[in-house]
Amino acid sequence: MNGAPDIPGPTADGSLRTRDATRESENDSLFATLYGDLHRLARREAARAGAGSAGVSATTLVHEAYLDISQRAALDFPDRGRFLAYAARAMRNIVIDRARASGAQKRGGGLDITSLDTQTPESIAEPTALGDLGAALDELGAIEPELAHVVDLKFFCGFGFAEIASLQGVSERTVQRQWEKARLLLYRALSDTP
Amino acid sequence: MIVGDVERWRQISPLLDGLLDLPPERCAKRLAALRNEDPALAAELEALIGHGARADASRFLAGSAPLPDAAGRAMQSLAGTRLGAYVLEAPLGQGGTGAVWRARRADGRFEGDVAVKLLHLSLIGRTGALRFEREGAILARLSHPHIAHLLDAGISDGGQPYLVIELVAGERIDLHCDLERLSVAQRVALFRAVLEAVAHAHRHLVIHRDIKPSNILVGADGSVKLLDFGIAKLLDRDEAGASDLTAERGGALTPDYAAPEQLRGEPVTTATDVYSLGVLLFQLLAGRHPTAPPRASPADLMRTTLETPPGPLAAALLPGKGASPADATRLAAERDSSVARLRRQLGGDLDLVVAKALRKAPAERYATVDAFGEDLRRWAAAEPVSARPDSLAYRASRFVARHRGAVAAGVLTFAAILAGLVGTIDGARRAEQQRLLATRAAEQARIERDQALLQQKLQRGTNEFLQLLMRDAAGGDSGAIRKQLDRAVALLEQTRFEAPIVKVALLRQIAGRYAELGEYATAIRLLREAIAAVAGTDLAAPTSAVPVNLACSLARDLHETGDERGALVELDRADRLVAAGAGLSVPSRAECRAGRSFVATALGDYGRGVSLLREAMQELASAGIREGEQVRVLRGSLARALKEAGDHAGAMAIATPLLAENTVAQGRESMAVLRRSSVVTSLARLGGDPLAALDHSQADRDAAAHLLGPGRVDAAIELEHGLILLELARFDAAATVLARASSAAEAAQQAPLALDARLAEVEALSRDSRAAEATARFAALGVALASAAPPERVESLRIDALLVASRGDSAAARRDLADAEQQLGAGADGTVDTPPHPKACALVLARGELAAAGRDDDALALAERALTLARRRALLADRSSDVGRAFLLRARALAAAGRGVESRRDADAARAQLEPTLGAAHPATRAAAALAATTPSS
Repeated sequence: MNGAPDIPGPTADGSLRTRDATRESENDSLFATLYGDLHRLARREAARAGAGSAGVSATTLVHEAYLDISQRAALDFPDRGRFLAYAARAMRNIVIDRARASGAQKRGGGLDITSLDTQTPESIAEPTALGDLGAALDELGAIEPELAHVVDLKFFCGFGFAEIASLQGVSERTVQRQWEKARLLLYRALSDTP
Repeated sequence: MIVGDVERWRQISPLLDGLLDLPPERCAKRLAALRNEDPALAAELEALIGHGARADASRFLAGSAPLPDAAGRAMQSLAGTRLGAYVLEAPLGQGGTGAVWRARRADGRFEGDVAVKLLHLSLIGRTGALRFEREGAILARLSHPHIAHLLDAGISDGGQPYLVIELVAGERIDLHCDLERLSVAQRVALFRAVLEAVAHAHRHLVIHRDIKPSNILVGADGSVKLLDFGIAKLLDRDEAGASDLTAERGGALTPDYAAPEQLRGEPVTTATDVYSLGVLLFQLLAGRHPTAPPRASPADLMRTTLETPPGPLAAALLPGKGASPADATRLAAERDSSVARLRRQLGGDLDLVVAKALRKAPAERYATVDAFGEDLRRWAAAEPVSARPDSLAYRASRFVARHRGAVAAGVLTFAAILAGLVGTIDGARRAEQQRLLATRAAEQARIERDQALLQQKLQRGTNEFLQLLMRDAAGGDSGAIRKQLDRAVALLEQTRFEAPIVKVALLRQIAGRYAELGEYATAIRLLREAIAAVAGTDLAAPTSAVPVNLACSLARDLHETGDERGALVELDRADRLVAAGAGLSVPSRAECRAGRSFVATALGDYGRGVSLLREAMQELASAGIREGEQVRVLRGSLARALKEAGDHAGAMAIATPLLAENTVAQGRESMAVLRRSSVVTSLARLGGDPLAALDHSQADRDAAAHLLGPGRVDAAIELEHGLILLELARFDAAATVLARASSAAEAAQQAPLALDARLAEVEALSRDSRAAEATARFAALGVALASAAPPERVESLRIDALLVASRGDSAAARRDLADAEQQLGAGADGTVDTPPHPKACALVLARGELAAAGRDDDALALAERALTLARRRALLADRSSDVGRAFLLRARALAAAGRGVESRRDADAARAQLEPTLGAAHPATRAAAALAATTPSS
């Protein structure tokens, strides 16, 4: 585990109950709120880290966002898993938005979305590649939401397989398989893109 | 559409799930089966899985996305910024310590592109600009083909610290190894280049402190470059700030590669780099972290780095050890190997080398990076590594430490050690057998080398095992050692060995230890057991050396018990096996030759005994073996053979330096050293200085008492002591000591030694005027004498002559002595090249004494002969009891012949030689003095 603060479970009064009719709009507003909060947190962290790079991990941001938001009575969460689904998607958007906003020059046309825990020249995040990845993930999410969700949690939020498995209530093996499937589909989609 | 046709995807998706769960080989099989039913579907699935493999190989989406922040925007604005002589051109990347830019010189001087690293302002801390620049200048002096050169370090006008570094293109070393599917050997070779670079830096007193794969790049030409040398230090807040460096800079010092002392905030030394290098090598070889499980949190990484010893490299390849078969197959494929082969490659010495680099205590690691590299070189050259020697003891001690208290009387410890050893050697043996099955003629050379290595491993393993065993008995006496040996034997007999060679090797080793303790009967029993264990296995093959080794060992122990005939049977058998094609190594051949030499000497063929040993040593020398334990043992044997042959000076020339070497190398406290010491003692006596020998002998007996424990004596040392006392005319004491020697020899079943002691005891009793006792003892020897070897038969005739002469039957005595002399053969007086027969001098002296007493005509001639013989035995021409006795004899003969002046001169000469060697009170010295006094001087 990444040493995240323990997240409170659903309230006992049955706040998990949501009606299908209202779900769409609720979800949209929830997402928007999360996105805003995460942005705010990320900005704060970036400022704290000075001109340098990330002083805090995406995982921490997501957890902090949850804590922050859950303290505001106005917002009601269906459940923790759902929250994470939104939060992860929000994180993805933040990462891609930022990359786009930075307007980094396009370098090459290949796939550069590799681990950034490195100082090698090849490993720089490629804004366009990240953008393509985001589009591909949106597509994937429309057909196989679980697969896209695993990618959001793993790649964009930095959760480990075990964590994701326990969050989703499935086996680690299942998460791994979902990850592999998602990755091969994304790889195919992005390598077909010129 | 990302999934293609959605309907089709719904059909494919569950099939894909099924395939992804399978290990690669079964996956391929399933696909092949599917191809028969639905080729199109199979092709689609195969293509998808192929994308997965490529995604893996290129580390697509590995790790996690960067969390972008203000830095991204800040970086953009920096293009065109000038720092010192350089202008920033484009960002290259973003790391834990800062952003990296491509730059070029602004002053027009072309030096190609460089990388400029913009360090976080916060990392400079209190140390200030001065220290930064000073340190930078030191780093800039590091110049090595495998180190990315630091060209400049400075702080811009705006206060931005920066480093200008040689621009390196390449990929991370771990990624490179996997993508190129480098074999284990290739990975080690690449890693050794990394070590060279680090060693270079260490020689310049620069510690890297942050060695990790992302700091080591491999270029397109396959050469490695280390980045960021010493930069961790450069960024250190102050000299003592290592700990807050770790804490505050998180990303810069990754816990994955940090050494325990770094995590504890203790001083960082070159040993810190050795540890990080150990982690790197472990990861390159095993594909995982040495202490932490996969995907461990930083906290777990730190905890295991501090507490958990690294497991075996091959652990993940063992069934039921965490990693899935699919992972194992992938791991092997990335290393251009199969799972089984990789398991073998990673076992053994590589494990030891890595473990030594990864010791928690810095002082226990390789002392230098060069030493680390040297062990890897040895591994690559299939030589034994230095990390090896204490490994078994180390593992065993760890085991004992874990189970202390729960272990009942050490038995479990012992069993575990044995099991560990057997595991090690069995594994090597099994691997060897598999390899043998795949033999092609072209591989013969390699196999021979491997066999030699295996042999060495076995030897080392069994040696270590026994040493470990004996350590338990350390401080104890032979009783404790014997008890441990008995326990070892009991355990060997209960253990089922998969590879018989392990049992055979251990039996042979343990037999050797029993023989050392003088327990030849047990040694012989164990060797026969080993021979039985060999029968019917592949060790009994015509090309196998094992039956020859055992036959030769057995021959030597049989020889010790006086069963020379049995020894010859074994030696002949060994010769036949060698003639039939048994592949005997040079050292083993030398061993067998030595065995033959011992038998030859025991049978009185002294010349052959000496020449066989010389041949054995020559053979070893021409194979390049000129030192080591075997050569020392052979030198000791040669000294003894020369001594037996009567060439005392030749023997002493070998024995004295040998003893000095031994005493230095092993201390006096070992049976083997004691035996060599007793040769020197014996030479002092035989060379004519019994008084000096007495001092030596006393020391030998003290050492033996210490080694053997109370109530036990060593038969050979006791016999020598008795013989010295006999020479010194302390007959009563001699008789007692010799009786003890013969009992000890009989208990050890050393028949020849027992017979020698009994004969000497009879002489002591006889000279002590205890004729009845002497005669009775001599009569009791009848049976033993009947089957005695020639030297003992000659000796018994001399003793018989002594007994009959004391009864007044000098005629019978003369007959005995003539008979004995005849048995010595033609070489009794020796030639220029060969020494006279060792028994000749004593026989001629005895004959001379009889002649002198009887005033016979040949007394003078016999005295002359005795003098010649004695001079050739003497170590010092002017200090020999034998020469003194011969002078005394001639003085008496001359006096009897009325040649008083010459007699007086001889008597003086006799006294001069006898007094220092036998003492003034000795009957012979007194006789010489008396004769000198009664005869007139010229």
